[in-house]
Amino acid sequence: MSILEGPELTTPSDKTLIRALFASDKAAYEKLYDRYAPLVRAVCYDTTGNLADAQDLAQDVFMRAYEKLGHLRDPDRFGKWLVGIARLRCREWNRQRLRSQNKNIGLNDAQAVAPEPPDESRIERLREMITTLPEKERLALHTFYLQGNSAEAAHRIMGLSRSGFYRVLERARKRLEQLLIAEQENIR
Amino acid sequence: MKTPLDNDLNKAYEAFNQDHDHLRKTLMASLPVRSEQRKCNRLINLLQLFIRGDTMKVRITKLAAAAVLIIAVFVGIHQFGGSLDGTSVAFALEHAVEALKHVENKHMVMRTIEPPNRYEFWTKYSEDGRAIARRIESPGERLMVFADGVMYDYKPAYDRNTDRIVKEDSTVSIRSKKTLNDPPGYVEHMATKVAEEGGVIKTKFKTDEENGKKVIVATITLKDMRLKPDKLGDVEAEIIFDAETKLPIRAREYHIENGQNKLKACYEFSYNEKLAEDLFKFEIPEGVKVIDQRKGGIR
Repeated sequence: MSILEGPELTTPSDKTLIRALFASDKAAYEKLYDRYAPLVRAVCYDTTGNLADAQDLAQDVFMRAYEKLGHLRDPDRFGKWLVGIARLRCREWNRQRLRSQNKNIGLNDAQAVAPEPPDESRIERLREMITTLPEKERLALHTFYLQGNSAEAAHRIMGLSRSGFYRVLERARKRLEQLLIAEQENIR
Repeated sequence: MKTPLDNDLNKAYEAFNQDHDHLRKTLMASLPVRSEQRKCNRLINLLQLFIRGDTMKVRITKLAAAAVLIIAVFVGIHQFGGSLDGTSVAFALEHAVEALKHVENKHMVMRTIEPPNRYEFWTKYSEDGRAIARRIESPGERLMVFADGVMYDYKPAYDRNTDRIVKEDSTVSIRSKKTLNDPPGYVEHMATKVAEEGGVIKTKFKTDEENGKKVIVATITLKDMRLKPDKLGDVEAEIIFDAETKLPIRAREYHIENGQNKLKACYEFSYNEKLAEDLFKFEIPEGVKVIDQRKGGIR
């Protein structure tokens, strides 16, 4: 299974895959899924805070994207477009969750608002910390680390220049380091 | 060199690959079959690009889309031969669409015969196809300039006897305008009419007499239209597309009254012109009345 791939010559571009998809080559969508699903799950995780819901939301995002492919103006920007759909779906999910929380509060306050038990593992904690970063910085981390620490496709998905992308990435890493230090100090 | 943080981040992101194969299979099994309708929708989208500024930012009505589809199918049949299948036409056009995405600006000149008027429209597009600046000019009549979120609308007033501008009666309205919608262009207007009125479209290949280029001529006929409050007649529009780029380059509209063709309006379209640097700039003429409708502006 591949994660986000760089623009290698042997790798079909998003545009090529979308063209193939319109020529009834459904397998092209599998390739697009392989390329972007981890990123979409990461974007959804920022909202859901748990992997299971993030996976469900990501599936929904890919269903919607498939139905709305005709609206995609520039196949080269498929990644950016998909992230936009994911954000929209996350906002809807949030609204639904709030509505159901409000309903549940009347029935069983304690059950509805009880936080999930915290996962103390270091990596899990790091993932949670990422969700507290500003959206742009989160996306920079997602795109960079999901494509094998390469900025090639990442900066295009974010619609930034390469240097602009590195600036955001660096800011995100610094902020994350500060959060880790602050947490360590609190533990001590 | 990777830092410990990099290593931790890589591990953190591995979680997003969990169950990937299973999830992919589930998704692929639940995807709907792309129906013929979807193919048509795709074609309509391609066509919105095909006529670029004329429909791109406008919510194209289903009827208009259907009419544009007819044009496209005709163009497709003549250009690429044979099939009426929407997908094949869409694919045939795709290479042309690709080129159109790089249109940076559009210039349209519209001349009406009765009353005699001339309007010029310049629209500049961003890389992602949004209209970002526009100038509409009817010499001596009106000038509208939109750029950087502000729209200026200058209406000069004239002294009937001397034909000179009366500054104190002339106005400049200033409005905030965050987004710039493309108004329906002539091609879309005609497409809507065809769909609503049930017109006839014919296409043929021709060599342009002006420059020897291959063009596609689409002739649209609308029967029994109300030309004047008390008069019915036919309307005929001739839209000429560049056979190579598929861009509309000229259009003419005729009214047919008592068997006679009367030219009513001419349109010329050009793309990617070298625009003057100050084309989308506006300086308020001295002494005119300024109506600033922006928040906190002077009315």
